[in-house]
Amino acid sequence: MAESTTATSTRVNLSSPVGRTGQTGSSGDQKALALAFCAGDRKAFGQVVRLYQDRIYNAVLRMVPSPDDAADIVQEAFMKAFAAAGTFQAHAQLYTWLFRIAMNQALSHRRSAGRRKTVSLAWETSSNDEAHTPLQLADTRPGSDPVDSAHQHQEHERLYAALDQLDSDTRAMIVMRDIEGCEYDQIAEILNIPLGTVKSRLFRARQALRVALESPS
Amino acid sequence: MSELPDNIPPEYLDYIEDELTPAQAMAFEAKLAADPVLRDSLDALRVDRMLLRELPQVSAPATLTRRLELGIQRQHSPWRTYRPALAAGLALCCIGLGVLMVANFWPAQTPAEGLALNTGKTAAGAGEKRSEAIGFSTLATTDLPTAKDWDLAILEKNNVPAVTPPAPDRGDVAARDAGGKGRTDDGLSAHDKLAMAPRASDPIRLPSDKEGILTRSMDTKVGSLHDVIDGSAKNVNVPTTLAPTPAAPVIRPDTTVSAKSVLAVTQPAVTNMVLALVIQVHNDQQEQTALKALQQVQNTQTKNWRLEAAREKLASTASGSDATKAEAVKKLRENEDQVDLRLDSGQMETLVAALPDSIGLFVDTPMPESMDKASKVSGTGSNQANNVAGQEPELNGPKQVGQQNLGNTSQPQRMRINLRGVVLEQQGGNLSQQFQRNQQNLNGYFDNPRLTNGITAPRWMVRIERITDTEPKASRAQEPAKR
Repeated sequence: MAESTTATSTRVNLSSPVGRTGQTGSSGDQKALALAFCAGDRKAFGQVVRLYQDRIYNAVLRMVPSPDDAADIVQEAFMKAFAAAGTFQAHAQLYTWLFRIAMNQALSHRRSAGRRKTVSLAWETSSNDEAHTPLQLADTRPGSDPVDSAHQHQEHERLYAALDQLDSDTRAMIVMRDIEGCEYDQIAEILNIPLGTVKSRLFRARQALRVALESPS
Repeated sequence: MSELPDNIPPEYLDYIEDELTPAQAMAFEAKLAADPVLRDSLDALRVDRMLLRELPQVSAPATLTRRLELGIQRQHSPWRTYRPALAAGLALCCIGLGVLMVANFWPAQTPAEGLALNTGKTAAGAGEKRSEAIGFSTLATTDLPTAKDWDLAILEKNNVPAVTPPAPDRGDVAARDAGGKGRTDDGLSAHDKLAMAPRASDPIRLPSDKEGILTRSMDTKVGSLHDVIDGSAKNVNVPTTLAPTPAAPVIRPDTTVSAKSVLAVTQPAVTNMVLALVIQVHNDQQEQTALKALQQVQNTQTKNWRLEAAREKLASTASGSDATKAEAVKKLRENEDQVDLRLDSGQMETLVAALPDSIGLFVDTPMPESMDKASKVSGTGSNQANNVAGQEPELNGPKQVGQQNLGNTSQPQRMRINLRGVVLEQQGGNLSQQFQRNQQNLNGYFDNPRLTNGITAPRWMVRIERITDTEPKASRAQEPAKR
């Protein structure tokens, strides 16, 4: 897969927005923002960061084990995007482009780090390795059923553990399709593989996840 | 899991993702009815997908935007443009300096010249460079009286005159010792001076800590916190704007202390500590407000330590009796009232700014052992035991989190600074005086990596405490500590 995110970024021209939460703002606003971003406007860049940082951080966090690493990767991705803003074509989807940069960054990180375990300083006192299991405040609100919350929490733990067992590309498939809601062609574009391969790899990725979920570890 | 074909039919994926049309779905389900193993496998994949889509969303760290701003500023800094040229210039300067130094000191480094002085023979006919070698020989030579004959042989081999005249401009050790009888101005012989001179093998000595050089930085930190405490005792104010590293607080006696300003002053004072910010709420509305504020700064560094422990407890009672389960559920509910989060300083600022004055705010800090013995922190209603226990994960690790610590009086005590009325809660004594008395111990505390967990950046643990046994007072903004 191409490691250089900036060189190939101009080819992104996807019609539909990425993600299960959809795009923010009207398409006119998006275009104006994208144009300003292209022109290297720092204010526009700030808006882009505010608009997309949470979603991109979420996706990256599913790819790398440590929140600190995820934050670093997102930061690096945004910096790369800003540096390559001139190469971005305004008719492309800005989020897709940013997402692609971030995912490539995350994949590079995972490959370079191998299967080495990293533990965030912020979680150093955790009783078990839960660096990738952020707690939701919603779980702790009065009125919610604590038993349900506990069960849901356990399910999430299990999922994170299973995801951790997958290799980078398999995990990326699951994250992009099932967590981020990317279209097949977007995944093909990001991973630089044919559409048919995306489907077969995705199916196998799900199978691998199921096996990981069923394994006793 | 069941075997699935290698050439995956497209409807499998569509079925898993619920993207079949109703007619297609009916036809496919009819097909699956004939193959229950395949149906179970695909259904399992569907469930997995649903679970994946239900994973909680988290926000990016609040500091990310700031980090990006700084990164871009750095990228556009003129320093970056001229950096290569500056680096090259600096390198050239270093090389030039090195060449100069080598040219200046080269003769002194030859063994022959150094040894010529060590022999202690009367010198005559040598030049300026010879006397320069004294500096080296006095520092590095330890065997002045034990020069051997082979030294002389080396001298002859290198065409060095057998005797060296004293250098007229130095008039020091070697010159006066030319015949082994000379005395320096202070009455010491050259031999004495050489014996007293520092040697290469001597340990490096730093100024004594009694002089305060090593502890000065710590004094400064504690001094800042001390200022806050002193100020609080007098109910005076500190700046109302939140500066990252204020040099010194401006004391204005007639204004009200704001939490933001106190935090601004205390933060540099606690650089090496983990502090707890306690948010005290009295009702659902306040709790929701606090949770909302927390959600603004929520990131992956959040964790409810006691809730986690309670959940584990509940999970472990799955096969237990009803009474055990009920007890575990009860504990879980109790712990849901308190949320421990970890935030960095940027998030802290955002959080405090979002909290209205009607919600109590305290900074809860650990005290060194000597202060534990001298003073006890007063309770805050029914939650005091939990407060003390809840701090432990920061200092002693996760194994002691939660219920095991409840009521354990051997745990380090906390002092609590009320950020609203700025009243120190403490049983007896004056905390300010104790601070002065124990300042040295406090320095030791800050320096102890075991106690501070080796943390070098300020970190905050935030806790929401639900006070159920008292009602909020109208003047709580002024006197929240009276419970």
